[in-house]
Amino acid sequence: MDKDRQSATLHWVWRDALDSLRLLGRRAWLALLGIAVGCAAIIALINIGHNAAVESINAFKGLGTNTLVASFRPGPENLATAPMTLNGPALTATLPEIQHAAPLTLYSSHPHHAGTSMDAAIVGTSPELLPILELQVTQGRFLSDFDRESTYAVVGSRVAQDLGLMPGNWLQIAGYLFEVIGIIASQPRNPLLPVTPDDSVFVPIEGMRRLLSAPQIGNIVARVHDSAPLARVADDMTTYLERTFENREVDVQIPKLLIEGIAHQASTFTYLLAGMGGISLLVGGVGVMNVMFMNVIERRREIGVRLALGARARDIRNLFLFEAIVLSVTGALLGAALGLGAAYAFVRFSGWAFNLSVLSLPLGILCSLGVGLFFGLYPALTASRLPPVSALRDD
Amino acid sequence: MKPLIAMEGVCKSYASAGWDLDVFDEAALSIQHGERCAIVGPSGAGKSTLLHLLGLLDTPDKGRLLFNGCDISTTTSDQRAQLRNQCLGFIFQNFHLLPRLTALENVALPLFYRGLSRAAAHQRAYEQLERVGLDERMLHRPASLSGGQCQRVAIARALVGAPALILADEPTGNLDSATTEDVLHLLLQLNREEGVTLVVVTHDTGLAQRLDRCFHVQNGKVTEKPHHWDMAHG
Ligand SMILES: Nc1ncnc2c1ncn2[C@@H]1O[C@H](COP(=O)(O)OP(=O)(O)OP(=O)(O)O)[C@@H](O)[C@H]1O
Ligand SMILES: [Mg+2]
Repeated sequence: MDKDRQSATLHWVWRDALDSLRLLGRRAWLALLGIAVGCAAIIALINIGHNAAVESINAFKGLGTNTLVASFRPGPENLATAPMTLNGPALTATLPEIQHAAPLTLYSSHPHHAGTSMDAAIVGTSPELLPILELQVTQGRFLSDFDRESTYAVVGSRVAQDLGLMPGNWLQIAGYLFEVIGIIASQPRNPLLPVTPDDSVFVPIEGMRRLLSAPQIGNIVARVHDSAPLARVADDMTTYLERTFENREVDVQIPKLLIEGIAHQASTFTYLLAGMGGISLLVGGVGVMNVMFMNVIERRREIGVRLALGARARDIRNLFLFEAIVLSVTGALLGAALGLGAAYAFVRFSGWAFNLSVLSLPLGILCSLGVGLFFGLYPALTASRLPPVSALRDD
Repeated sequence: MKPLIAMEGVCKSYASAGWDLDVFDEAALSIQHGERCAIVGPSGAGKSTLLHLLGLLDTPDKGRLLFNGCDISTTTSDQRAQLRNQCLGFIFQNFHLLPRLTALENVALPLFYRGLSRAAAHQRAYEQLERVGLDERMLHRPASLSGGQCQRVAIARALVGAPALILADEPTGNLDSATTEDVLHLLLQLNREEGVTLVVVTHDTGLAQRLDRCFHVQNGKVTEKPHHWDMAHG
């Protein structure tokens, strides 16, 4: 008989809890809103932080992790003795850990084509630049070893677009005509590189003498074998370059270390935002707590009446448990959708690509579920254990 | 014969405003099956407290309370809940209807805790509302009912579970004389036809005199007064 009663009431309790929520009306909506906002806040904040971190790392990822960038301090004007180019094969022969190395000599100019001109960087370099920067050729081809003395140019995507260039067109740079032989695909800007491929015109470094009276190598970029120790190779490269370019001071940078520093900073940023999310959850949680707590406290007399009419403590617990479950689950799911929507809108508005922080969902949902359940249930449990008169007296 | 309910040496005190108020001190009483009892006494004497004790809504600080020969202090709260649900019908002094439920749902509530189906519970609740003449108001909330109508809903709720003992705290306090007569008639009829035991708190001498026994609550004691005793000379 008792078992019968139990199963029957369980079904009833569900309906009663739903009825009672319907009857609670505005108060139930407020509780729902409180839980949803708490949950939405943490999910939105964690996702925004995560995306900001991913975005700031992505900006540097293009450089690859095994690249070295050597920069020469600007030397005195007249340096006839210094080599004007880099002997790549000699360098890779001396330092076998280095796969490719390419020199860069920069000159900014206004190339013309068909009556239009634009500001662009003229980059004197060697064919090895292609694998080092992982450039993609969309039309034509890149510079080759046989083009050293030629007046060929390979243009970045923006230069090609703005000047309407196709392979085979002629491009006028500082009074010289260069033939466009290839176009490079667009690449995201990489602040660790001295060049921006999109806005550049690549010409053989030997030809820079046509444009500059005394061209000096500004940088050398090198790609190191995957397993090589970057720091030691960087030291060796410094020594080698200082020996080769006798009277120039060189400074070799390891972008990987910079990227690691940035990644570390980005994770600090994520912690900061998670902390803010935690605080928002606390605030949301206190809101949820208030609404649920008041909801129950105001219903102490109801608990007393139900007890007087024959409800057991566990019937009261079930009623409030199911109410709290309905409110918390609906609120948390609503909040999750709301939070994701807000984060998505923010991220897209900032022009980043959206990247879901997987951890944020269970964190936000479980936290608000927990707070909602606990504060919906705990005061009701306390009241259900009192003698019915004490609960009844509470008006 | 074993009494339906008996109190022996019951003490009950409330701590209020820093000092203990002894409402009952070694109080005793015994009520047999099918008896009709009145409880009288001045305001604040402890009539409601006595009814709460008899209705298993409160527990004595000291002494024994026997329900059907079973010592209440040895029962679990679940067993007391079941006793309240199956054997007791309580009519509170201030009704204690749930404001968000309709009259019908309020009356059906005790059956809910018996596991009856909703349709069956509502059917039985409707019959009780019909009995107290409120079947037309069954979908009203307590707030839209008058005091007397609320009282009748509370009476219907006490009757719906077909209890063995009805405890009523001034059940006619809010009713006009005609309705008072109807309610009293209903209670007495239940007693006559179904052997329901009645315990009624009242200030109404006329009402008290129509019941078999009359308990007087005063100074922490419960004393029985003879039938013909006139309250005015107490
Ligand atoms: N929970 C409580 N806390 C403190 N004092 C209480 C409590 N319940 C009752 N009392 C006190 O116990 C005494 C008896 O109260 P009770 O309600 O039983 O009186 P009563 O005889 O029913 O009075 P009335 O005829 O006015 O309804 C009162 O003095 C009241 O103040
Ligand atoms: Mg009273």
